[in-house]
Amino acid sequence: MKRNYVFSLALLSSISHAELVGMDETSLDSIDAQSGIGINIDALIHAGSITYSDDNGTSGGDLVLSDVRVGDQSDVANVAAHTEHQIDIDGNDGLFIFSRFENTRVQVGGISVGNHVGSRSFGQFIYDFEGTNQLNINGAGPNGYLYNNTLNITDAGFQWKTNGQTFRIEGMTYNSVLTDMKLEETDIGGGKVVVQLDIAGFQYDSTIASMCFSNAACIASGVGANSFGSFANNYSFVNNQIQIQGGGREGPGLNANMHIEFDTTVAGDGNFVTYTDDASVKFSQITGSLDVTNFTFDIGLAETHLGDHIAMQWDQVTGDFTIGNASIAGNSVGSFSVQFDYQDATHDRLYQNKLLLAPGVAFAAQDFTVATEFVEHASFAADLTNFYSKVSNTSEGISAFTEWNMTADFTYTEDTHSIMVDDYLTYGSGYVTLDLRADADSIDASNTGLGGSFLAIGVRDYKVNYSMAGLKVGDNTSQVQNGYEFLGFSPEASFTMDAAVEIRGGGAVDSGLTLDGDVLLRDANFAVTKSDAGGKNVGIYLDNASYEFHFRDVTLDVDNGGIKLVLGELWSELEVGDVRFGESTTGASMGRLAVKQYQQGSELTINGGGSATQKCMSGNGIDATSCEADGGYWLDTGTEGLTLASKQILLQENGDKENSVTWETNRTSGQKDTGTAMIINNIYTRDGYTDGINGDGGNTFGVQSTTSVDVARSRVIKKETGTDSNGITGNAGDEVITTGKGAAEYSYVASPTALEKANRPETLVISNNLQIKELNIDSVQMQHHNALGSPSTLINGIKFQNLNLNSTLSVSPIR
Amino acid sequence: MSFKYLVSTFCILTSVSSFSLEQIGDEELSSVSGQNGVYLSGELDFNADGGPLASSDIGNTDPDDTGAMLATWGSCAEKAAGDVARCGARMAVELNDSSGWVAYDEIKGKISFEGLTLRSREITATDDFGGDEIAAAGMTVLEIGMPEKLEFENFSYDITTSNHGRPTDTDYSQQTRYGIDFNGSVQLEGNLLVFPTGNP
Repeated sequence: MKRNYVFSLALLSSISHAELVGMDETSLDSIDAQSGIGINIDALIHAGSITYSDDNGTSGGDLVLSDVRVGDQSDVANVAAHTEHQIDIDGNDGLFIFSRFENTRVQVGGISVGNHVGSRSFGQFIYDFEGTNQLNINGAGPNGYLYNNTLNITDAGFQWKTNGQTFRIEGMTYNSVLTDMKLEETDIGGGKVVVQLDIAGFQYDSTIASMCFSNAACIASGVGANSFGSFANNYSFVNNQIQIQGGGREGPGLNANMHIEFDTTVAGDGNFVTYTDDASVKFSQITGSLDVTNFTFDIGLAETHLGDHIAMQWDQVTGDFTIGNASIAGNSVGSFSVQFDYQDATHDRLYQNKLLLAPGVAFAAQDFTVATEFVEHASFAADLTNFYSKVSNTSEGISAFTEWNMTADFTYTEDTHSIMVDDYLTYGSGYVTLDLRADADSIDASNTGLGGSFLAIGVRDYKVNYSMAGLKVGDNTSQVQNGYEFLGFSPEASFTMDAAVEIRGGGAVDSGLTLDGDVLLRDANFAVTKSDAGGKNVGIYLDNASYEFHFRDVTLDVDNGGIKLVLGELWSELEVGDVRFGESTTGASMGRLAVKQYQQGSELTINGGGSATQKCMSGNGIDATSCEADGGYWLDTGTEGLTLASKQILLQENGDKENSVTWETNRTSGQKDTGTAMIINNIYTRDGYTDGINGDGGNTFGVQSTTSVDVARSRVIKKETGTDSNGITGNAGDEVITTGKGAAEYSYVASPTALEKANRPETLVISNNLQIKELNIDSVQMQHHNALGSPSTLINGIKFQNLNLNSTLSVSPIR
Repeated sequence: MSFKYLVSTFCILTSVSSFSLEQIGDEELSSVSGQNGVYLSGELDFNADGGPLASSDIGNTDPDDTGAMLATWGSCAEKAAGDVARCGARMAVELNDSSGWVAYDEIKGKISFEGLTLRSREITATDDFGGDEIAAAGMTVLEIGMPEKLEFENFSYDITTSNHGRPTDTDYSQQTRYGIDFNGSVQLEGNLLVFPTGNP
């Protein structure tokens, strides 16, 4: 048995090779054995560097951890960390080691890769902790070892530092129980032997008191609050398996297969995670599993923008997860589930699932104003140039390249009714950079005096493609339908994104998040609506499009009203070269469309609970009986659901910032400003009264909309006599009565009974209240290309006032 | 009268491009390979008890400075009691720079419908457009299937002209040209097809 153990270590180390350089173990000050079973250790450890290498001369490279220290939290360089260990060997139960750790700090001064060593680093990492650990190792006949472990960590903290700024996690606790983990070597065929971990059970719970970007301790509330909020979770897994062997994607490296499975027997909230600000967002009763095939870890060389890097790649990752109950501020939203499959696939080229990580900030100090892709976006190019001018080629940070191909189905269930996003596909690739900066380097001048830190996220050349077949109301066997148009999202899109985004801790009130950013989507194509026309999709598409948007001082909080986004200042421009009817890039064009938005103080709130509608549709009545008697039908949406409330404050034009819509046709070669345009000019809201004469003339109400999304049974009537698209026959005026959820599991009934009416089809129900005190359009203009900037006025003004519109829409497929 | 104005509204909505009405049966629908699209039922209820402008608002002036009426805007209960002049929605348009405004005024009431369909659809040579289908074959249109049942319940508005956009503006005056009040149901048939034409 001892020989097996040694062999396992040999196998692991043969994957590549490791070396310690400049090891300086200053002291093992006291080792006190008490009756042969007690050891106290005061450790002060300093390793100049620790190198992992998979360099075989033709591929691979070095991963270097530098200036690694272990010591006491008070002074990791000079004060030893104290630990106590009790060791017992039982003839039946094996080896027991009970350990206690006091105020220990593990610090890594820098991490770098390949040719970046000595010039660029991922930054400094610090982990503080104290706690206890009980480890039991026994034989696991016929081969291998059996591990059981109980770990309790208290008062833990984590810091990531780059360029003198710090991201910190404070007040961490962690408790875990590892049950019967078997470690053995296994022959998996093909001449391969792997180190295999079979984990019968693993449970952990953890809490985080606060997280922030700050060189000082996080402030959770009050003046200067900078914490994101607090987190808590509890997860339990069963039947996990991990197989590890040597050999990477190229030459030496690491290779792993994994199976991870949630324990579905946990009582109460089950597996859960909670985020708490002033109120909580909670995902509970989480179940599912994850399988990873041929995950590889290599040191890669000479990527175009990253240089040498850590390369992680996988052949396939499949999973299915369900959040049994999602709640916002105590209000149930319902449940969500997803089944996904990451697997390499060829579209316009081969897309491989991979993540490459390199130290430092790629694109630092680059001038984007001369980049050809930004010729039509000079203002954004200047924004991006300014963003990356704040860092240099030697700045610390994380640069990543991702490439993916993934298919998925998403299901949302509320009040036992489900709606599915069917056959979702996404693929793409792009770069992201992360680093911590001082507020003085903000893209928003109003932040420069705050004196804190923020996370800077740069996005470059991020090509995104996605599509979905449509929605299914019921289950996976139900008929595909549209309806996403009313929820405001596109069923199919492709675009390239560049962005400069800043994230700060602290929301509008106490903890939360604050965001600033400049984002450009270019080379874009968005479907507004689409249909399957037999081997091709036809619909309405926004082609040759770009969308540039800027946001300042956007805050994210959770309170009893839900998840609340206060949008600060927002301005954007959507430029659509061609609005096409037909196929996405070749359909007939109805011309160019440009939409500008300019808002300040707008809000968006997301909360659990739907419309809780109980009312008579297409008739009058106070209950189902009286409603049916009046020729209507009773709509009952239940109590679960999702509600979105928005307030859009539209400002008057201010320089290039404005709310306007331009439609241009009769162009030369489809070029902008070569035809005739109709311009809906300077759209803005007011509070309804004359400025400065009879009242304050303010602009605080805006356009207010509350939308609830539910799934409920509604009446669907056949429009024409005959056989429908699913082969079901009926007469005009008959009702659809379902016998199941399948696409053809229904019949047409002329006069349904009360029992049959209970089986009316499930439909997507969108309830909305729209309120406007005053919405103004300054003018509607016509502009000829020979007189750009001097349009003729068609209408001198439009004024909407006092609108309070309630609408209810049930959406089902065309049968 | 009522239907005439309904049609005029549709024309405004669809005048962005071209449109045509045609009949299409279920058999034809079943021959279309793509079965996406949506069947919609629902209702729109305008200012059931007034809008967001309240009688207590600063600047919500007494419209005539006399009598019991206290404010211009308010709830429909206040209007019924004679305390305010209006509770409906209003859309006013100023056509000329120096002249007055024409408005859809006091918009209130409920419209419900069943069987409105929306989808994008490709025209084929077997469709019946009075011969136009040959030239239009292969063209994609947005097809709006008229609802089988369209019901109006106390849906009303006035057509007015006024000297200012806001009824609360100083010296505001208006003349109501006529009022419309819909009650009852309308049955519509056919499809409205929207598609681009001409040089984009």
